[in-house]
Amino acid sequence: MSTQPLGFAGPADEGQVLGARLKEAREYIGLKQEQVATHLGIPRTGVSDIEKGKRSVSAIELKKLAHLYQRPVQFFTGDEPAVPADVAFLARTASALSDGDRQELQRFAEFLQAKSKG
Amino acid sequence: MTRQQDRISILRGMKAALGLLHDLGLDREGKRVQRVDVFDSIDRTGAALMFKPMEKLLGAFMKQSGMAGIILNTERPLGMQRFTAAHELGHLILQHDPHADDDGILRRGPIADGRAFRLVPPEEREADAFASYFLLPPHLIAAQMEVQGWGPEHFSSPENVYQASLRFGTSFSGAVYGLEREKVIGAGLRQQLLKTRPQSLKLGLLDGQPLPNPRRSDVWHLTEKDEGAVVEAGRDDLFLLRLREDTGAGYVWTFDELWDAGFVILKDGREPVPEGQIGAPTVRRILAQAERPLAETLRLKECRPWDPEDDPHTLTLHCRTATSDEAGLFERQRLERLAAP
Repeated sequence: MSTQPLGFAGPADEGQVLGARLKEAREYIGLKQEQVATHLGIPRTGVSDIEKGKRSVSAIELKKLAHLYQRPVQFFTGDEPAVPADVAFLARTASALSDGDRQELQRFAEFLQAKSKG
Repeated sequence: MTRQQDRISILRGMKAALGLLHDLGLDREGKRVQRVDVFDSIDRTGAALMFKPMEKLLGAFMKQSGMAGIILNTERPLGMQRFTAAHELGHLILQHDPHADDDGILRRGPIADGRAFRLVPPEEREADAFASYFLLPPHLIAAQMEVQGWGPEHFSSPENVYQASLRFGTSFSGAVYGLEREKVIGAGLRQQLLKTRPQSLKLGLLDGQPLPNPRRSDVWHLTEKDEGAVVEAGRDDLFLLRLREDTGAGYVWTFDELWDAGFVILKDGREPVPEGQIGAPTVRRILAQAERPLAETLRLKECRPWDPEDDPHTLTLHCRTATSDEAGLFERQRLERLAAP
């Protein structure tokens, strides 16, 4: 196990960070690894390896993936994806906004923000 | 909020709904009798449509950097999701601010004028009215009543209201409110109908057959009157086909098409002919369930087995499975970029 604190990932972990972001973006919109693999023309294990940071992603593949996941390339490669304003203001419109629901709205706000640039 | 303001809100919502139906061509001949495809309509406005499991919220309309989006809770039945979708589409079309909605939106009738509504902000009233008119425009109620041969008196039976709601693509209560709005039924009958539990209506059609998921699945009672209907069904729905069969003249319904389309037949029988009517048509009664997602046009045939092409009667149904419990982006929005090179 790495003893490095979170948020200070060195260059060796960049592939893992990228892979994790790609996995999250794929799962968020509900695509399967298999569908993505077919789209890229690579074996299904290729997508799995990319998401685990075991296989590097070519620039062309990354461009295709960003388009597929409806986000800008920088969303995956940037240090910090742009975070939209807090959605807490929506709390006043619904009588009870649970923490879970608020997080779901926050993720959707992030998706819309990224999609507007993707 | 005063009655006058309330009326203005309802009128604004109604006008926007009927205007959008017109712009999308959903009020034309041929479309008038079909339930309004609200998810497709959202897609056509260019907004992102997301389905996610949530706790208390039914849905929300949001906007970020000019990108509009609607999110819906997959943990709710399809009729409720469609109503929420229409309510959020109302916020979008009426250019309201972003809004999150819980089940408060279900407890308000679209037109009922009472003290409780004074507490509802005008934008909510507009979105409520929009949803009501968009999902259930007057022409859809009128057209469905015509093809089914229903008069106002038929809606004193909750069974008919339930079957109407499936064809409208609304919840049971949504259909009740819509019928009251169009003055097909009165406030007294509305109150009485709303006491009915749709679950008991579903089980009543099944003759003891278990229903896989009583809260979410529906039972479609289909007859010859549904010729050409769009049957947008949930994955666990059951289909009770009751079709007149001219057995005296040797005609029988064949259901090979059902098998081919992915249905399994759970029960097959004929209803007893009343005494003294020997040779009269019988009613064939089939209970079927889909084994896989449907996306087909079914053409069932009643013919004489020895001469199948001689004057067969047919029943055409456009069957489609609505996957309302799958999380992720609306299917078309998810797949459109997969298809592109």
